[in-house]
Amino acid sequence: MAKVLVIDDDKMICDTLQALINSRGHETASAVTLEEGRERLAEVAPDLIFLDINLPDGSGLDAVAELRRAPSHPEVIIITGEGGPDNAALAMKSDAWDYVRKPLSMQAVLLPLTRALQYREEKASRATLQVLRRPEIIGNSPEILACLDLVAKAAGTEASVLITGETGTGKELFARAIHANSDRAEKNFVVVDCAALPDNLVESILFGHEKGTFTGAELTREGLFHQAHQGTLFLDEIGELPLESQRRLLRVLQEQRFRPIGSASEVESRFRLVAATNRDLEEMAADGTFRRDLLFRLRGFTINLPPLRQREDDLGELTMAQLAKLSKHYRIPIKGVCPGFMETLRGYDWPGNVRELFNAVGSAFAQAKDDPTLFSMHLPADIRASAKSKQVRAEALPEPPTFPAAAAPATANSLPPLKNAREEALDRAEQRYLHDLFALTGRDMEKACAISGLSRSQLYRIMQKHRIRR
Amino acid sequence: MRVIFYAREDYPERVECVRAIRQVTADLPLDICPDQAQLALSLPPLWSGEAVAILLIADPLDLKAALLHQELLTNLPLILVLPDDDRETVRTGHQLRPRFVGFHGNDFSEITAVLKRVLARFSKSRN
Repeated sequence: MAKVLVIDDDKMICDTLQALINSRGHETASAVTLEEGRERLAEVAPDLIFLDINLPDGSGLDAVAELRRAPSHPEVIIITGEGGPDNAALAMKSDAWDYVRKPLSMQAVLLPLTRALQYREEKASRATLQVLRRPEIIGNSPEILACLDLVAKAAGTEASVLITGETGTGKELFARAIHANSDRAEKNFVVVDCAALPDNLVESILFGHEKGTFTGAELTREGLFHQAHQGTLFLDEIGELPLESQRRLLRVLQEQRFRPIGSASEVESRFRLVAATNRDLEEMAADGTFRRDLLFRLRGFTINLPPLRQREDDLGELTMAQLAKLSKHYRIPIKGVCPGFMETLRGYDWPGNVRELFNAVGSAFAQAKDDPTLFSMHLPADIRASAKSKQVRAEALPEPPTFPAAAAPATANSLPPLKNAREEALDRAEQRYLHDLFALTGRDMEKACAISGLSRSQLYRIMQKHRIRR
Repeated sequence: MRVIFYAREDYPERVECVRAIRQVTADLPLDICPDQAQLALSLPPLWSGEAVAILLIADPLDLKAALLHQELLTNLPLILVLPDDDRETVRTGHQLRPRFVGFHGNDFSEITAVLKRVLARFSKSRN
C-alpha cells in the first residue's frame, strides 16, 4: 500500500482521484494550493504526488524539484488542462515521472500510478540490497533479489527464519547471509545437520552432557546450543528432527535456557534460530510428524528459494562465477565459454540445482584442460543428452499461433462479434500456453500438471481440443 | 564415494578410530592421511563432492593448518573432531563448515554413527 498526495485547485478532481486511488488500496491526501501541498507533504510522506500545473499560488512545474527533495523522495506525476507539447517537455525536464492531460481517464491515471509505484518499490529493494553482504550468493534475477530482500529484512530482526527449497538451491548460504548481516555476525554460526544426527545421540549433541552420564561420555561436553550462544544456530534438514527433540527444542526457544544431560543446573543460550528443509513441514504437521507449534515458531520469516530452472537469468552469472573461482583456485587463466555451451546449460533442467551446475561447470573445466574456451562437448554426456532431447522435442511442437497484425483499421464488416473474438483469443492463448508449457517441461506430463495447476485429465482435455498429441 | 580420514600419526587412539570407521565404511575406499600434505593430495577437486572427510584435530596448530584447505573442505560433508571445547577452538572449527562437531575424549561411537547416516544419505540420493 502506497501513500499518494493529490495537489489540484479543483476540489472535484481531488475527490475523484482520491476515490480512484483509494479503490486500489492506497492511502491518499489532497491539497488545493501549493502551500497546503507542502504542509501535507510533511504530514503524509507520500510515495507519489499528482500535481497540477496551474495552482493559485504558483506553478506546479516550478515546484517539482522542491517536492522531490522531500524526505520521502516522492515521484511526481504532472496533471494539467493545458496539454501543449512544451508543457509536456518541461514536465519531463523537471524530473517528473509522467505527464497526464485533463480530462483524466481511469487508464491515464492508473497506468503511470502503477508503473511509478513499481519503479519505486524496485528502487527501494535495490537500495536495501546494496548494503547487504552476500559474497557467496550469486545472481540478480528478480527471484533471487526477492529472497535477498527477505534476508535483509530478517537480518535486522531477531525472529526465527525458515528457509525452504530443493536440494542444492543454497539454503545454508542464505542462512549464513542472514547471520553475516545481523548484529550477531561476530559470534558463532553453528550448523546442525539434523539428518546426520543419530536419534539416540541427538539430545547429547544438542544439549551437551556431564561426564559419565552415559557410556562413551568420558568428559563433560557443552552441546551445540551452548556453542551457538549469542550467535546463530542453523538447523539444516529440520524435518528430520525426532518428535521428542522437537518438543525439547521448542522449550529451549521459549525459555532460552536448557539443562545439559546429567546436569543439575540450567544453562542460558540466547541464539537466533534459522532452520532449513526441503520437505513440506505443513504436510508433516498435518501427518503429526512435525510439531505445529514449532512450525509456527520457526516461521518468523519464511524464505522460499527458487529452483535453478526458475531463475534462468542467473545461469550465465553463476557459470562465470564458478569458472572464476576454479581459475583462481587452480591458478590458471580464466576460460571463456562459447554460445553453444550456454545453450546446453539453458536446455537442461538442473534437478540438482546450483550444486549440480557447479559440478558440471567444474567437470567441463577439467575436461577442457589447456583449452582456453569451454564448448558444449566438455560438459558431462548426460547433461548434453538431456538438453538435446528437450530441444528436439520442443522443435517438434507446432509453431505457436501469432496474433494478427493490427495493420488495417477495423471496419463494421471485419470486426467479429465480441463473443467470437473472445473465444478465438482464448483458443490462441491456450495454444500458446501449451506450446510454452511443453517446451519448458519436455512434455513431461507430471511437470506440466504441476506448473499449470491442471489435473492430468484437464490437461488432456485441452490438448485434445487443440489436437495436440502427447 | 570415498571416505577421507585425517589424524596426525601422534594422535591418541588413531588406530582404534580407523578400526571403528572401517566397520562403517565396509567396502568404500578409505584414504588415511597421516599428515596435512597427504590430506591436501587426497581432497577431491572443487567440482566433485564425491567424498566424506573426517578430521581428528590434535591441537590448535593442527586446526590452523587444516584451515589452509578450507575451500576444498567446505565443499564436502565434514565430520570434525576438535581437541577441546575452548571458545577459540570451537570458533575456528566452525570456519571449516563441518556437518558435525565432536570432541576428543568421547568414544568413537558418535563419529561412526554420524558417518553411517551421512553415507546412507549419499547412497539414497544416488539411487
